[in-house]
Amino acid sequence: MAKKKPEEIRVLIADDEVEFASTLATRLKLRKYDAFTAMSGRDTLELAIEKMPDILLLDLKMPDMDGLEVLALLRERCPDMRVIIVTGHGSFDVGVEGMQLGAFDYLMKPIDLGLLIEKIHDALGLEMENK
Amino acid sequence: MEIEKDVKSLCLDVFCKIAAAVSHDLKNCLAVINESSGLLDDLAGMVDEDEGVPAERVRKGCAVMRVQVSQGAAILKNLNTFAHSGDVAVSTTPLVDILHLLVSLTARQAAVNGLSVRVDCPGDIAVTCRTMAFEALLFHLLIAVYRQAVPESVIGLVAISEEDMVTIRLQGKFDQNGEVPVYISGEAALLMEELGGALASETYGLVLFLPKSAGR
Repeated sequence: MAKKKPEEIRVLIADDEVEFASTLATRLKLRKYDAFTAMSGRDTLELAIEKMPDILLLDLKMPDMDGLEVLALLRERCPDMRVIIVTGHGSFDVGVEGMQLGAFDYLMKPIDLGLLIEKIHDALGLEMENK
Repeated sequence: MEIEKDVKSLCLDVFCKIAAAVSHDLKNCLAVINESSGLLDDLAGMVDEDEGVPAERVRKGCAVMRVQVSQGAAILKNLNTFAHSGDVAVSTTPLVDILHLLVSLTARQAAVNGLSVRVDCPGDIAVTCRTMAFEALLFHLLIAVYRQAVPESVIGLVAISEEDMVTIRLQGKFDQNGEVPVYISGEAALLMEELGGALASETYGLVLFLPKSAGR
């Protein structure tokens, strides 16, 4: 398995819950990941195309665009970007639809940060540096 | 008997939809609390035992958590009020309380289209009816209005008392010509029949006519 240092991994957190996104980004930055945030569907699309993150943590319910809509659009523009859905939406069907649209995995809020980091590394096919 | 089963089934259906939205909102509150407490933990792990985390960061984290607890409590209070609507078959309730409750319970759906919802209802109008059926009807009408309204516009719920009837107007912008599509689902029609109500469209809105005393 390949290895990458956390500072080489770019993570975009797309969530309209400002406190959640910014605090999660801060915690990832404390662990040396290059984390940044988007607060709407449109911002997510713009930032994803501009900054080409390695991983997108995508909320499903954002005010201007549905997360699945964002996912479908990104499949066309950024086919190599790995997406992990992070949401409070409990519908199994939505999770399945997300996976069918190419999401790597699906996590329910509140999340365990250790588990999220494992999923990020799994999604990128990377060995964990410090387990 | 069949109609009674259908009304109960419709009320349960609305309850499930509201419960799903509430659980989503509560998970978001818990997620913020989880991350905030995790951050304080992270910061504590980075300092020496006798050093301590900067007071400002602790205060900020605690303030964020307090806001989320407060929001979560408000969300649960609304669900609790709605759940208890079914305690008594027929009850007398201030209309303004019912309208505010349904606006709160459908806030997420309104937010999807960037809609603001305003309630204009005198405090002295009371309705006697199957409260849960009335709330289920309002839920259906509000969701239909939110879906059809022009995004980023304002929806007004305006209630007027007229002798033995209450008139509730759902006003907003529905398209550029200001024409309101008359839309009423089968579910809403059944609930209106149960309550003895009627629905009509007028310029810039829908209007619901409800007997003040619709109890059986």
